Amino acid sequence: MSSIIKIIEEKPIPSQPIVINGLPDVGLVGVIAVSEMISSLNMEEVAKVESELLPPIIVLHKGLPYAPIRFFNKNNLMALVSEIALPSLSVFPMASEIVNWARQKKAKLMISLGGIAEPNRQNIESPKVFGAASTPTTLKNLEDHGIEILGEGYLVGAYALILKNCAEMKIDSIALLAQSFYNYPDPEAAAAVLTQLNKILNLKIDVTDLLKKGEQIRLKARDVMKRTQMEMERMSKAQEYASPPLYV
Amino acid sequence: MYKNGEHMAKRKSSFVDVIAGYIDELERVANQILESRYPEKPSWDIAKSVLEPLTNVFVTVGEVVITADLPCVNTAAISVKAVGPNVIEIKANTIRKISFSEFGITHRKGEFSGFYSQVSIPVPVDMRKMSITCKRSVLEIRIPRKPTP
Repeated sequence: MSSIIKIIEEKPIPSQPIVINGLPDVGLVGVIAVSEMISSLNMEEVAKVESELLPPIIVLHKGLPYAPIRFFNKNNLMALVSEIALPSLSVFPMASEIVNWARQKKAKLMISLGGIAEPNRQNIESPKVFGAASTPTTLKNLEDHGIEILGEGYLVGAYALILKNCAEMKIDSIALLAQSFYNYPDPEAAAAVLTQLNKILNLKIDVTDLLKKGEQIRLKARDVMKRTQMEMERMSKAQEYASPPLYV
Repeated sequence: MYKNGEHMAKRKSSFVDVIAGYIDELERVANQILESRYPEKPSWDIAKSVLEPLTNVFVTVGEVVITADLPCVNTAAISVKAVGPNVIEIKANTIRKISFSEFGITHRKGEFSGFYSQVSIPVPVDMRKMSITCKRSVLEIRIPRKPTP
């Protein structure tokens, strides 16, 4: 099933990388955060994702064509980012291929940056970041960094499957999810997850600029947010508001 | 215990609720079909110099909550008014002109000076009791639902 998604490497990929995922989800938190990280760390494009399950789209940057979903690299840090909404039909094979690829590369850690929708978001000054993990060791790592664990609940979408696949393959993986608007781009939530990422990986990504240009990002990301919302509705994303009936 | 006729009234009310629910659902599907017959439109209107904001409509038991994302606007100059029994109009001026080049687009020309949207409300509401707030450039409009007859 996963062969219908292909990761095409254009430059050498480091062994045992740490992979940061920035896929479109609530508030486009991951996309905004990882875009900022790529620009702040001056990361280089090294691979792209291709699939017939994606719409026939290229992204033009300075007149040249790029695949909308690409991997970037700096030292052993890799970043995956998408400039388009992921069609709901592509989510299962996409998550599967990303994790398979990470296993082939012997990824040391996979971190998904995203949001968790908070209906009362406009009244929250500093979005809180919650964490979930694929293994007890990585969960402990989150707790050691003072990150509140997302104890009980549902996760829906690509990050849910990435976490599940990583758990099955015993790959260390965490999801950092900031309180976020559901269908409005949320640069403040992106800054919150980057701040936690800085602590975990000992990075120095400055979020001041991201916060300063927040309103401009919200203007620019409207169309991708709108399409992402349509795909989230197809995946019943709103189920994340619900609580699971069983305690196992 | 129900008094004379009260039980029947309750049953009638719940029957009306069910039918109203079906009608809402039919309207929603009909609107979807109607919209899908027309080509997708851009989120901007260069002739009117306006951008279409992202909006959301939540229907709760007692009220309808409409939100709109209005970055770069002068919050003191946001206008919200009912333009029909179940349609509200949102207008907001931006604090500066916004050009396509800010979105990285250089092959289109034009500037936008505000946001404009008309939002349909899926259930009967009492527009006279509308309340409006704006925080973090997100407009929130709360309108109580009309009781079911």
